[in-house]
Amino acid sequence: MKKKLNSQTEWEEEMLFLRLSGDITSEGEEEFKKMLPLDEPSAPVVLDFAGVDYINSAGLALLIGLVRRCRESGRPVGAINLSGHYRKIFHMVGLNDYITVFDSEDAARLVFASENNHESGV
Amino acid sequence: MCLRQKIIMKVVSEMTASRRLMRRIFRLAAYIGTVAFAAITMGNQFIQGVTLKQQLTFYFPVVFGQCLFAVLALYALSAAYLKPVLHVLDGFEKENEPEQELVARSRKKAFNYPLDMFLFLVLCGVGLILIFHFSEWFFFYKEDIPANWWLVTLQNATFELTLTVSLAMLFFAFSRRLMRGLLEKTTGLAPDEGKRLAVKNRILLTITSIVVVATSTFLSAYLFFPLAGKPLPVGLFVILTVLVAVFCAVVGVVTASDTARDIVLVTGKLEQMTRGIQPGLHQTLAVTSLDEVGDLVVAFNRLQQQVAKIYRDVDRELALARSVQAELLPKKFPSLPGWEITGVSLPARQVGGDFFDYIPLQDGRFGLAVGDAAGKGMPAALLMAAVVGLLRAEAPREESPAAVLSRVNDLICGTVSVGMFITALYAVFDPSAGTCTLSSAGHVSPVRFSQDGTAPELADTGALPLGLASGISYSEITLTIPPGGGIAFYTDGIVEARNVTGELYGFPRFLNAFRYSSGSESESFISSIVEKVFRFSGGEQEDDLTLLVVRRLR
Repeated sequence: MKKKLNSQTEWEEEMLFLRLSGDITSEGEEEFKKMLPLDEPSAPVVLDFAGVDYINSAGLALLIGLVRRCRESGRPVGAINLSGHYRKIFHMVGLNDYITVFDSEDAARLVFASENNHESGV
Repeated sequence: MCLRQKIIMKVVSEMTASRRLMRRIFRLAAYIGTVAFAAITMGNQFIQGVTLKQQLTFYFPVVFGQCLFAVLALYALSAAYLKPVLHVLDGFEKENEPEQELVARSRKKAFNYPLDMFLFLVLCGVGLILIFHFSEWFFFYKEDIPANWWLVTLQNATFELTLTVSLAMLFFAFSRRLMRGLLEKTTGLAPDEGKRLAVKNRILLTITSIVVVATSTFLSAYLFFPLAGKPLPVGLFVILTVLVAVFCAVVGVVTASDTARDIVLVTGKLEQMTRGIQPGLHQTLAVTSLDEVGDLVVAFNRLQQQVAKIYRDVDRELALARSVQAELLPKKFPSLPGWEITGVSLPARQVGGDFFDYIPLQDGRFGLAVGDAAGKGMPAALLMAAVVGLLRAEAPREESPAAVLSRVNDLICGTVSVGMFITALYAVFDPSAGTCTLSSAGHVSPVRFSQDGTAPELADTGALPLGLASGISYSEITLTIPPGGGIAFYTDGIVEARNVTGELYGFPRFLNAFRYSSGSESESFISSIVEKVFRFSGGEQEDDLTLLVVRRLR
C-alpha cells in the first residue's frame, strides 16, 4: 500500500515542472530536500500530483515548507492533476493562498508564461 | 515406494527420539569403521605388498576385528555417555518437562560428546596400532627382522595414526550435527558449559592430519618402490595422488562445512528475526557450539536481552505518557440542557497527536477545540499537550475564536521546530442563540448536519496551521445549528483512512454517513462511523482518529 515518493524535474519554457509520484509522507523528506534546483531561482514551479494518491499531515508539512521556500525567492507555485480530495484539503490548510491549483497543464503554462512575460516586460 | 521402504519408514517414525539418535550414531560409526578398514587393507595390499596368503591368514581378520572392535566400543561408549541426552530427548518428545539438573547435564554432555569421542578414537587408534604392529612382529618377523623394517613400521604407524586422527575428525564433525537437535532445544534452559574447541584449532588439527597422511603415503611408496635404475611408476603415483587428494578434499570440506553450517544457521535465524518481528520481542538464538560461532551467538543473545530491556523501559514510559495524555483530555462532557456532546479519540500508536477539549465560558457559552499535530508518536503528543494548555489559558480571555487561535499561534511559533505544525479548530457555542462561531487553523472543515439527513455540508474554512508563521490573523464564521441537527468535528484520520488498494475514505463517504444515520443517537452514530472507517481500511489504523459530535436537541 505504501509507495515511495519520487520526483522528476523537467524544464519547459522557463517553467519548472516537478512530477511527483508515490505517497507524500515524512519518508519523502530527503526527496523534498533535493527538489528545488537553484539555477533559475525565480522561475515558476508547477507541482504535478498525477502520481500522488496520498498526502498525510507530515507530507503537508513538507509541501508547505517547499511552497514557503518558493515564496521567499519569489517564484509562483502552481499545482496540476490534484485530486478532488486534496483540492479540499489544500483549501482547508490554507495552501490555496500560496499555490494556484490549475485544471490542466496547459492552463498552468498559459498563466505562468504570461506572468513571466509580464515581469520581463517590466 | 516399495513395501520395504514403507516398512522402514514406519519403523523409523515409530522409534523414539533416543533410538533414532543411537541408530544414527551406529550408522556413522559403521561408515567410519568401513573407511578405516578399506584404507588400511588397500594400503597393505598395494603399498606394503602383503601377499594374498598373508592377507587371508593374518591381516584381513586382524584389521577387520580391530575396526569392528572400534565401532562397537564407540557405540557402547556413546550409549553410556549420552544417557542424559537420550532421556531429555525422549522427555521432549513426550512433551514432559525434564528436570533442570538433567537438562544441564545433557547439554554439557552434548557439547562435550564430539570432542570426547574424538579423543577416544585417537587413543583407541594408538592402542590398536601398537597391538597390531606388535603382533605383526611377533608372528612374522620375530626371528628375522627384514632390512628397513623399523623405518617402514614407524612410517606405517604414522600413516595409520593420521588416518585415525582424520577419521576421528570426520566423526567429530558429523557427530556435532547429531547433537545440534538437543542443543537447539535446550538453549536458554541450561548454561552453555563444556569443553571448548576453537574453530582455529579444529582447522589446524585437520590440516596437520591431512599433511601427515599425504606425505607418509608418498614416503611409503618411495620406500617400497626404490627407483634405483628403474623407470618412474607414473601410474602408481597418479593413483596415489588422486586418492590422497580425494581424501584431503573430503576431510577439508567436511570440517569447513561443519563450521559454515553453524554460521549459516545463525544468519538464517537472524534473517528470520529481522523479517517482520516486533523489535522488543526477545528471541534467543540457539547456542550449538562452544567456539567462536558460539561466542558470537552468546554475545548476540546478550545484546538482544539488553535491547528488549530498553524497549520494555520505553514502552513503560510511553504507557505513562499515554495515561498523562488521557488525563489531559476531557473524559466526559458536561450535560447541558438542550445540547449533547459526544466524542471519541483513538490514537494509532501508544501516544497520539490528536486532541479535543471542552472549555466552559461565561454566560452559558462553551468552547470546543479539536486538533491534530503533524506526525505521530511522542513529538506530536508533546506539541499537542502544549497547545491544549495554551488554548485553555487563552480561550477565556478572548471573545473571538479567531483571536484565540492567533494568540496561540504567536505563542508557539517561536518554540516548535521547523517542519512541525498543528492544525486546530476552535468553536464557541452560544446555546441560547443556537449558533456556533468557529475558526480553523488548517484543520479539516467541520460538517454541519440536520436531523432529517438532508444536505450535510462542510463549513468553508481555510488557513495555515498553527506554528508555521507568526502574525497570522484567522477568519471566523458563524453557523446556525438547526434543532435536532448538529455539527461534527473530526481529524484527517477519518477522511484519509485508506483501504488495501490505497483508496481514501474521503469526504463524500463521510458526508453520506450523515445522510443515513444523523437521526440516531450521537453515541451510536459515532461508533457506526468509526466502524465504517475501520471496515473500509481493513482494521488497520494508520493515523490517529478523532470524532466529536455536538447536537442541538429538539
